[in-house]
Formats: sequence, structure tokens, C-alpha cells
Amino acid sequence: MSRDNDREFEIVLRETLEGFDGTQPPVELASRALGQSRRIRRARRLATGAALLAAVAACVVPYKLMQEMKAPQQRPAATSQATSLPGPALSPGTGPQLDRFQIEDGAWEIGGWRAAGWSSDDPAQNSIVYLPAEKSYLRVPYMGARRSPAGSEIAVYGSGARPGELSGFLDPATSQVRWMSSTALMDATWSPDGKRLLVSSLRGPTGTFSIVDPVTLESRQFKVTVPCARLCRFFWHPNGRDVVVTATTPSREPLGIDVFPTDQGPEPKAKTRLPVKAYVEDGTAWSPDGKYVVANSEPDGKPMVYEVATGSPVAAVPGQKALTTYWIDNATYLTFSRNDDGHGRYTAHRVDGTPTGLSKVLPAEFAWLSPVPLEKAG
Amino acid sequence: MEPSAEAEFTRFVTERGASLLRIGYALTGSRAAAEDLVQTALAKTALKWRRLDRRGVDAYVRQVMYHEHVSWWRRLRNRRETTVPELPETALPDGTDATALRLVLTEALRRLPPRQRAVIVLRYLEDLSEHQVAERLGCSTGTVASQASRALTKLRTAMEGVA
Repeated sequence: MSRDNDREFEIVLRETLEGFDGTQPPVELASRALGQSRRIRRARRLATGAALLAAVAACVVPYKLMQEMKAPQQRPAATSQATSLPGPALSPGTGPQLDRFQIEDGAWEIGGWRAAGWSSDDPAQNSIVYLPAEKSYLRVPYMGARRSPAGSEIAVYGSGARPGELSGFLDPATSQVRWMSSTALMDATWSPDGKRLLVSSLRGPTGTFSIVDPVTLESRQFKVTVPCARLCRFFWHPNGRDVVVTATTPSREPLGIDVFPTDQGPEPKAKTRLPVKAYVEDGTAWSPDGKYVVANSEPDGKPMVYEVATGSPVAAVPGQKALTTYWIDNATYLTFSRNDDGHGRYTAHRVDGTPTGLSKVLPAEFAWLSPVPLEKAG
Repeated sequence: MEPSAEAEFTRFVTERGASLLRIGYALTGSRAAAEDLVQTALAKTALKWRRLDRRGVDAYVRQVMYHEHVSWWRRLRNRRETTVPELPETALPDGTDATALRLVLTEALRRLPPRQRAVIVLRYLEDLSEHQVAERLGCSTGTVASQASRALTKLRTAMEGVA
């Protein structure tokens, strides 16, 4: 087909697609959608309730059976030797069922980073967390789960189907969760030292973020007055003390990356604006020496490596989901992509975007999950 | 959902419903299926309404629509993929060539497997790049390119029968 024919074909195709029109939505579309959302919510609650009942039954039934077995032995009987059978530990605070599994030599690793787990963001699916002390992965029945880089405590969030159980901290040793009363940990990220969590509030034209202390469960809220990009997502500065956000004009043109202190009251002023006019979207986007940062050059993509001091773009970042970057050293980073068969992999690139040759497909357990977050190994 | 949020959600659906329905229609090829798809996507959006940034709601609904559509395709594929390698002869109504071409193309679009149709809709109705399509559908750019190539070949073949 000639170029003219190609052009003509494209025009007809576009007209045809535009022509899927002339149909006004039914007037009750919104109310039907709202009704369906209520049904989904009810179904989720029922499913959670059923799972809870099953879990309780799984605990109570053997206990009852043992009690019944024990009962005749406790009756005074001349022919029976009384023996005490220990019952299962059952308390009102019994935690969730946690399922451990292992892969390879304990964890999947590349370039000093290992698969940290995965947050399903789906009430019907478990999330996964790596436990270094046990060299195993843990399935937890929550929509999100991220372990502290400094210890074993896991920040979890659920669907809110059970009152009071939206966000909290899970101790994998005891299966107990300390639930928080207010702050949702949906987009929480641990500070590099694992002592605090940063939570972005995605509402409003300007940004609000909270810092949560996992020991006291206290949450401090901060409000900044600079318009911020799209979802106003805040990330830890590599120094682990400050937080950053891409500041934009009201029309969402990036102005630079603002750095906010977290020790100067609830309405901090930016202590500096880095000249990188791009959308930073990941706390791991910074090279270890702070010289480079990976950020989207356009609102919806085209990630580039930028020199932080000058804001100059250095090179495009190859691969899809490329904002999911982890720096191996000051000159090499890993990016997530997918093979043609859909399996995820991480590949190492130099700052100029050329591959180093280091590349590894994720294990079967993680192959289909959307970018699997990594954490420092060792 | 609180009454004020419901009112806001209803206003959004009133403003954007027709546009979403057109995408749904182009994706599914059927008005009824399009309404189901849009309604499901809106229901899932309503569940997250409180947490969504209002500036990104439209993009979020479309994202859910594409995922729902392709998920349906995956479920179907697990049972039995129903593609039509050879398009049947289609009787053309009287009218201009362009109208005839569009009718044939509409029919050919309906016969594309859902994932190929999603790629075509994203590329030519929403004007996204291959990279952006890959992001939306959660696959590689290579997959997008191959799906688009197969789809365009089928559509061209259908048109050649008319021209």
C-alpha cells in the first residue's frame, strides 16, 4: 500500500472510530454506577466476613473437638488416667493467617537489590513481603504491605471492610496488627532509616503530607502552598530528613523540585528549589551521591536522567515503567520492563542509557506483577 | 459515599459520560456492552472517589475501562480465543464510497480480538504513542506494535475488498 493509501486508510480509520458516537449515555448511568459500587463494596465485606468466619471456624472447631476429647478424660473415672491436653492459643486479638514461601536461595536479587514484595491494591489478593531474618516471603491478607528497611515491622493497609482496620503495623512474629485510628497508609513510603513513614494526601490543589511514627502511631500533618504536579505526591529526599515534590504552575508546567523540611512546623516553606523541571515520581529515583535524579520529562512519561545541580537532562531512560529505577552505584541504575511474553525483568543501564549487560527476569512468583519494588539487600 | 461526593460524581458522569461511552463503544463494538463497560468502570471509580485527584479522574476511568476490557479478553482467551482470520463477505448498502468503507471498517473493528481493538482505539482515537499504549495496557511496546500491525492488516484487508 502506498503512502497516500496509508494516509487515506488512517483518515478513514480515525473517522470510523470517531463515528462510534451519536449515543448519549443513559440518564441513570451515574445512579446505576453508584448502585453497582455499593454492591461491590457489600460483596467485599461479605467476602471478608466469610473469610473471617472460616478463619474463626478453623481455630474454634479443632479447639471444640479437643475440648470434647478432653471432657470425658476430666470426668472422674476409675479406669481413666487423667491427662491434660493443651488447647490452641486463642485470644480475641488473634492476627491474620500468614503464609510463608521461599524462592531460589531465599530472595531474588540483582545488583545488590532484591525483590521486596508487592502490594496487590486489591482486597481479593494478598500482598507479599520479604522477611530477611527468615529468608522467606510472606503473604499477608491486605491490599498493601511494605516492611520497614530497618526491621521486621510491616506497614499494611486494607480495604476498610472491617471497621477500624484500615491501616496499621503488622508484627510478622506474632501476627498482631496495631491499627491506626486515622491516617491511611495507602501511599506510604518508609524513610531510609525505617523510623518514619511519609504519606501523601492526594486531595486539593496544593499538597498535604503526613509523617507517621510507627512506634507511637502518631501522625503529623504538613501543608505546603505551592501547587504541585498531578497527584501531589511527596517523596523522601535522599538525605532521609526532608521531603520533595515537583512544584508546578497552576497549568501544571513543572517549575522545579521543592525540598521541604519536616522539623519546622505544620506549614513548612521550601528550603530550596532544585532546577529539575520534570515530574519526580519515586523515592528511589536519586543516585546515591545525589548527583542525578530520574524524572518524567512530560506529565505522562518520557523519563530522563537529570543532573540535579543544573537541571540539565542527561539521557533518556530506556524501558517501560522506567520511573521504577534503583541505582546500583553512582553511574548505574536498574529499570523495570517486560519481555514480549509479559514477564517482568530488571536491566542495568549506565547514566547515558546504554545497557551494562546485567539483566534478570523476575521469578515465576513475581513474573506477572506490576513493577515489583526492590529493596537494598544485605 | 457522602451526598456531596455523590453529587460531584453524578456531575462528572453527566459531563464525561458521552465521551466515555464513545470509547466504550469503539472498544466493544456494541452499545449495550459499552454501557456495561462504562458502568463497571464508573462503579470501580466510585469506590475510590474519595482518594482520587479530581484532575485525573477521567484518565483513571479510561484506564479502568481498558483493563476491564483486556481482562475480559484474557478470561476469554483462557477458555477459547475467538478470532476471525478471514472476514466474511459483507453486503454493502447503497451510498458513497466513504460511507461504505466506514461501514466495512466498523464491522472489521467489531471482529478484532479485544486486545487488538484496544490498541487501535488507544492509538487512533485517543492518539497515544506506542509507549503510552503499552503503559495503559501493561504490556511491552513490542506487543503493542505487533498487535497494531495484525489489527491494521485485518482492517486493510477488509477495506481492500471494498475499494
